[in-house]
Amino acid sequence: MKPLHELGVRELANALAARQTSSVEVTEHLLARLQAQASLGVLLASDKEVSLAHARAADARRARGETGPLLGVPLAHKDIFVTREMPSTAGSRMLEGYASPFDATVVANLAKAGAVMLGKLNCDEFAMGSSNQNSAYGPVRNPWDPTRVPGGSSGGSAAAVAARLMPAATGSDTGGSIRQPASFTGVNGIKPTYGVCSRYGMVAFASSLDQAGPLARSAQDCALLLSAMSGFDERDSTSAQRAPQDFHAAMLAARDGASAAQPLRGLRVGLPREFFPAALAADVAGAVRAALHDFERLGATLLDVSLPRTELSIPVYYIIAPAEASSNLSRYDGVRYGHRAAKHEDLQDMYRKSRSEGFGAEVKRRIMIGTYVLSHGYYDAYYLQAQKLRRMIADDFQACFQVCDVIAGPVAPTVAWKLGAQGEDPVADYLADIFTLPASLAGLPGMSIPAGAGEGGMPVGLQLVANYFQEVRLLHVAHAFQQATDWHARVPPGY
Amino acid sequence: MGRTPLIRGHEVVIGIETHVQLATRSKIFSGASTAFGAEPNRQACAVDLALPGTLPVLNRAAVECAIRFGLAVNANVAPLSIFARKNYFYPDLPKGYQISQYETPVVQGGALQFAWQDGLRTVQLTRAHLEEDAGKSLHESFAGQTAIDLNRAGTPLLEIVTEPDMRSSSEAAAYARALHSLVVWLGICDGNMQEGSFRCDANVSVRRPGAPYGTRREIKNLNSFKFLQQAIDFEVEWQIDLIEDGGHIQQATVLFNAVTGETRSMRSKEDAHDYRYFPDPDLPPLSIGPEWIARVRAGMPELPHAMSERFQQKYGLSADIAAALTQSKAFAAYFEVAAQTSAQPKLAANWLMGEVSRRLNQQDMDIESCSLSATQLASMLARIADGSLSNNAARQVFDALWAEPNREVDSLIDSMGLRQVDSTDELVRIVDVVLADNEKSIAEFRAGKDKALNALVGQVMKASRGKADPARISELLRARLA
Amino acid sequence: MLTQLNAFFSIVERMSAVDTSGVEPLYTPLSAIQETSLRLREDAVSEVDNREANQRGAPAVIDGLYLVPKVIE
Repeated sequence: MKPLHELGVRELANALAARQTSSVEVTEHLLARLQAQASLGVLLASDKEVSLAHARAADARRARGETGPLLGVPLAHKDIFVTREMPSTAGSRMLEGYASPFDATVVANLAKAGAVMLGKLNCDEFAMGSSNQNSAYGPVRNPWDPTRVPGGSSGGSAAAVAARLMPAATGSDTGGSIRQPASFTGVNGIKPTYGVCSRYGMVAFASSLDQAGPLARSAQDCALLLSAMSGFDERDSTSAQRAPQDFHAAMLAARDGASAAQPLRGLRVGLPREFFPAALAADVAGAVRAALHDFERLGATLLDVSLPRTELSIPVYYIIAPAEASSNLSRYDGVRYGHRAAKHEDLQDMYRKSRSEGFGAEVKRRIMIGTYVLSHGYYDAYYLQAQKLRRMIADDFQACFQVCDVIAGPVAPTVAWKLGAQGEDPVADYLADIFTLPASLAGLPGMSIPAGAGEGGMPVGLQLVANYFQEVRLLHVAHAFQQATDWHARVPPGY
Repeated sequence: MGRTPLIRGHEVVIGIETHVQLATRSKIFSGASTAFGAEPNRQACAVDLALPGTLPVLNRAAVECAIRFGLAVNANVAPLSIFARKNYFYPDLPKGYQISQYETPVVQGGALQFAWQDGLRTVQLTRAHLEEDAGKSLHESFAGQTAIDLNRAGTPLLEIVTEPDMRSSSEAAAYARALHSLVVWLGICDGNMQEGSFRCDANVSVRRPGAPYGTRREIKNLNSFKFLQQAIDFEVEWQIDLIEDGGHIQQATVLFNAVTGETRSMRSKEDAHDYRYFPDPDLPPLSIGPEWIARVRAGMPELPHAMSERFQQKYGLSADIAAALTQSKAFAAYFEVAAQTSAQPKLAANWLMGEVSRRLNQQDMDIESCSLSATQLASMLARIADGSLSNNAARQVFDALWAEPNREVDSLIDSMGLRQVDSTDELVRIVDVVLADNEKSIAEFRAGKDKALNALVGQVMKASRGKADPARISELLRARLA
Repeated sequence: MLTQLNAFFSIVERMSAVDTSGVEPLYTPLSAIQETSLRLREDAVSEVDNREANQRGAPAVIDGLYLVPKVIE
């Protein structure tokens, strides 16, 4: 049998079912590996006793005759999800050591399916960032090149999966925080339609944009994870009231007109011209176009489409998200939980110092922007205008989906940049989100799949966006591509 | 409508905002209990505490209460309304924002009519909206520190806002009382002001007649009608004093000190606080369709005004008396049972408004805790109606019944020897005996001396040991002597 | 920080030029495609006392009450 860390979720499930290994064995193996690769910086919390207890419980369930695609499969959770059994920090000093009395719904769903919790994964503070350099607990390194960022905000999740420290991980995506790190580290990541996964227990950043999703090394694995993670939750008023879906089975189901050689026959792939600007790095453009050429070989038809307000999605997002965040983060006041300043003179001083000490620079920046754009006199010009443009952006997508089935393009304008490179100019970071923001604003499902290699051998991801509740279409396309290519199987050297 | 007199040449302008705690079992956005009196923070769940990752889910019953209120005041119930975040920092506000409603409240417009100064007054309502209550700050329990109990955080509130229609503190108090009665009548609030179920803020300004509105100051958290009136009175004088000294009123939030009777500006609040309202992204718009409204309308209790009209029609009562009887649902219900059981609505009204109310007030009780049942009262009223009890005797019987409310009324009357002789043969016999003995008086009466009849009546009264009704005796004698 | 914020707002200015008259704001994404209305919860007490767990790690608690520096009104 292959070394345990080389097995993806489905392979591991099969091995466990065939009694070729046990959950305890896999868990111990991966915990050791995580420890050995501590320099990547992916883990913020781990507890061997807790993990082994989960593993033993899963093995016991299996002994009692239970089966399931995630039973006994170890994974870790982005530290944006609260968990009872390990501290939850959201990458912030504000929540150092915070012990949640409840589990996030997504965490509970996976536990119910038998998944084993290996630990909590590093992320940008309160999910704000695109490089995992905004974590209060140190950066995460890209396993492909430890001098480069893994992307963010789910940098820990992406790096952990890419380095094969675990077969899958949970992440969250508000403006691209699953898709972009997936692209930078050569793994698959999917942000489902807004409302598909419950937000209960996910530390809120921007409520109308946040979505949970899986990262894994194949579309199939993503489908298995998503099936378990998703579903209506009565504790979340924005949870979509839809019947539970088996994404994996649906993904594998035959499509009209498809054949083994041409699995994408009949699929119309729209390429927005705004996603292929001159500023797109040549290596990324090359890799993406080559992957699209593969799509054609598999039977897809490529067409030119337009998302004319793509550039505007940057100011629109960077007004709406900070606005919601500024309000969502008001609860961190040092009164009931979290960091409280040790020395303070009165209540106002306590608020000021606790928040100043507890929040990092980027979080403070966004709170300031958010407070400003909501303030009296500016609300109409900024916040309201942004929400109107948001609808226009969503309408633009609908116009595209009249003529195509999925939209495709790059995930980011470049491959992963060097650690410390864009630190002085956060606005440059914002501009790099240009391709992922539009789908976030519209609430559409988007997926990043490994599609090629760029400068320095760094991974390049291809983004696919489908219409509302059409995650299956994304998974199907990704799966077909992965049957015919092996970008997703590339492993960073040494891992 | 009569003009309210000016105060030192100024017209007083008052608007009232009332926070009504809705009588639901659970909180507006969480499943924690709203029961009063729990130990600190034992009824504050994760959502109420704003723990990381928690989200709100709206309580249907809170919306029903709002709809019921809207229908009762003839307001528009908005088909689509939006929850907004009101952002500010305070230790008893766990999220750092209050979920409230801003641009599109659930109830819009409406009016409240109430009796005032021998007439009916109507105050226009601007709106009523749903929001969550904050927790409680206890400033005195720990030296140098404030203690926070979040059990109350998340309790549903309906904030009811009037137009600045009121022109005197007594009118404002009358409005507040009427609103209080209504929300209790509708069953949407328990009305317990000591427990904070009904809290008024008064917006007060003054102006010379004909001038534009003056700057208003807001007196917060008045939890008694008496304090409401006192606070407004003080505030008005204070504002006029300032103006006459050449000063200008600054917008401010003030607190009323019940001990000193003074209002004082709050230190820590910034007066033009920017709450940065925006629609809460955790809560999609609330949709209230015509079917829901129709269901609520069908289940509404008869409202005080309609009941009052009905009492006037059905029982021939005056408007004033009908209004007084419909002061509360329980009071009106008591009246109807007594009126219908005894078939004596006017008598029932008199006794209820008179003796019963007097005793209830004396003992600081409400009609719900009255141990004398309406049917018992009705039995007594029936005996008054059929002449068995004179008014004098009735008062004595009532006293006895109040002390022993479960005594059988007829046996009580008899045991007290108060049964009046009436149109029985006994009375006729006594009359004949007296007539036989008093020919002189008969002759005088027949000669035109009406006073002679009184002497005869006196004789009959004496002979019947005061148990007959003088009016009946007089009737019988006249009939006999005709 | 100020220079960074100013740079940010120069991007934002591009937004102001767009004519959005007649467009409804999109506060929640799914309302782009369907009548999204608020789901309601039945009025039942579903949460039990969990004070100890909720207050684990609270900065300052006595007798179940959260303590803060005295608030002056």
